[in-house]
Amino acid sequence: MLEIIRAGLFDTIQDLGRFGFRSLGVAVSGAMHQKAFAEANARLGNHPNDAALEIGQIGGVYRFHTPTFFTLSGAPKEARLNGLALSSAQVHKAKADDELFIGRSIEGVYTYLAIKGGFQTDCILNSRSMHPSLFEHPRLQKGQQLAYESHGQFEANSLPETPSGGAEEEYVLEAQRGPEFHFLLHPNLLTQLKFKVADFNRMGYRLLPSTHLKKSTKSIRSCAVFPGIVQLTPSGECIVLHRDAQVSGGYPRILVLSDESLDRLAACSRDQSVKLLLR
Amino acid sequence: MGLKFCTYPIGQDVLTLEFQGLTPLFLRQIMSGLRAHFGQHLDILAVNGSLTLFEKDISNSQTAIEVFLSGFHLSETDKPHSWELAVHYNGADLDALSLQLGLSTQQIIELHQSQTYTIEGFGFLPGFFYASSLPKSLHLARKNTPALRVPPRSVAIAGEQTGVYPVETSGGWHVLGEIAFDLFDHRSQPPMLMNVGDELRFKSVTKQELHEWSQAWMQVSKRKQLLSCSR
Repeated sequence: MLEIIRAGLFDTIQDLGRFGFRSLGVAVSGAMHQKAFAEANARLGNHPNDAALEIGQIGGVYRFHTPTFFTLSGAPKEARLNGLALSSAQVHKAKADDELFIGRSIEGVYTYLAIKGGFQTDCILNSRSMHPSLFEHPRLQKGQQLAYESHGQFEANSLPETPSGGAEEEYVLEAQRGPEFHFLLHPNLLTQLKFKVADFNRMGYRLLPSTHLKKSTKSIRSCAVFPGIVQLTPSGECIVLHRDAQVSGGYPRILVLSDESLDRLAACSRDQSVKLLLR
Repeated sequence: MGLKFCTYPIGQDVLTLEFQGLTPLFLRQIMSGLRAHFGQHLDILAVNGSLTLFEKDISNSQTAIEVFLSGFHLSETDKPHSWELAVHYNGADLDALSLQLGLSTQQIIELHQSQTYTIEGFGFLPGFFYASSLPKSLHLARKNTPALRVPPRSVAIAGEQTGVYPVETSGGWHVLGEIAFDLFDHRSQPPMLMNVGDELRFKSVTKQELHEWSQAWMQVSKRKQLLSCSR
């Protein structure tokens, strides 16, 4: 068991996501930064879909109840095991009663705490990814115990470190035209403008400014949406839908971001500058 | 007569099929046909007369799917399943609705029960269905400011549709009442009894009767029978 002694600001369990139930209105979910998530599982020799703890901008305190191996990936944060600083990108051994402290992000947002064999938490509709509409609590709470299988011996995979989730000066998001791209009155402005991340959560990212992107007055009926879709709201704001996005929406879909760009966006915190690049 | 449709990919892994003038029941037949032909696991979302397919590299199969649709025959004899939901009409928005629509709350409750609705699709939340067509005198746009907290199992209306909120959420639909149980049950297979194209009616029950319905719902194997329309 991993016990949550003090929960982080937004701790959830995530895997690759929940597929096959969109027809009933079920969102996909899954790790916000898929590349960082995959890297953590690879280091431990885990299955790619093994569930990890996704930690938002500020981490918490966690206690291991049985021996195991763990690793941290994604956004670098201050990390201490029983008070001793941990180096990133390595597999660490945890003994019973070891206490792990995770601080605030130094760069980026999402950090993954992956454990040998993955967390054995509730599996709903073939996925352990916590989505607010399917789980009693939208995020992990103090006192919760996350099950895992104990491991005493393990040969760590020596993988080259590929930094992910770190900050860049300006993030370039690659996109394709969406079905309602023609709703834009001045499409070339999209790639000229410098956007800033206004606010975000696991469902989506709001980009500003909005003033230059007046859409035509046409409205549309609800249509299918998914992570990567960029919606244009009536006030002219761009909303990039992320992993927890609903399956349908009523705003024009002007762009579709690539998977790599969704990861890149997941590394952006508030006020981060981003540019759009049309492929 | 052949189907009238157009198809377009949205990125590599998403393909939308838009049909002209097809009822939800016909869309359901096409969904079943696509799954039988291209794989039962195919994730298909029905929204407003269109189907959207989600599958790795599905856009590579665009031509094959168009060929399949061109040869697809709709069945005119297929009958939709009919469901009946017991509602306790005690919704928080009844009084406000009464003012806005110029109808008494009793008239609103009766009008809501007067119609046989058709499930057009799912979205918003797990198990949230969009059912049409609400009687014209009940048509009202969504609230300007969504309510922060809509209780789970709330029966609500907006525009020309009605639906049931499966979990507590914020939402902009006008709440008329509540049903007795969680229609979406992820422990059941399938998690939802209702499907696209199904018919749906509502009937008014007392608080006590609502409680009896929730007791009856506990028997998982009898749920389908419980909600099926006898008429």
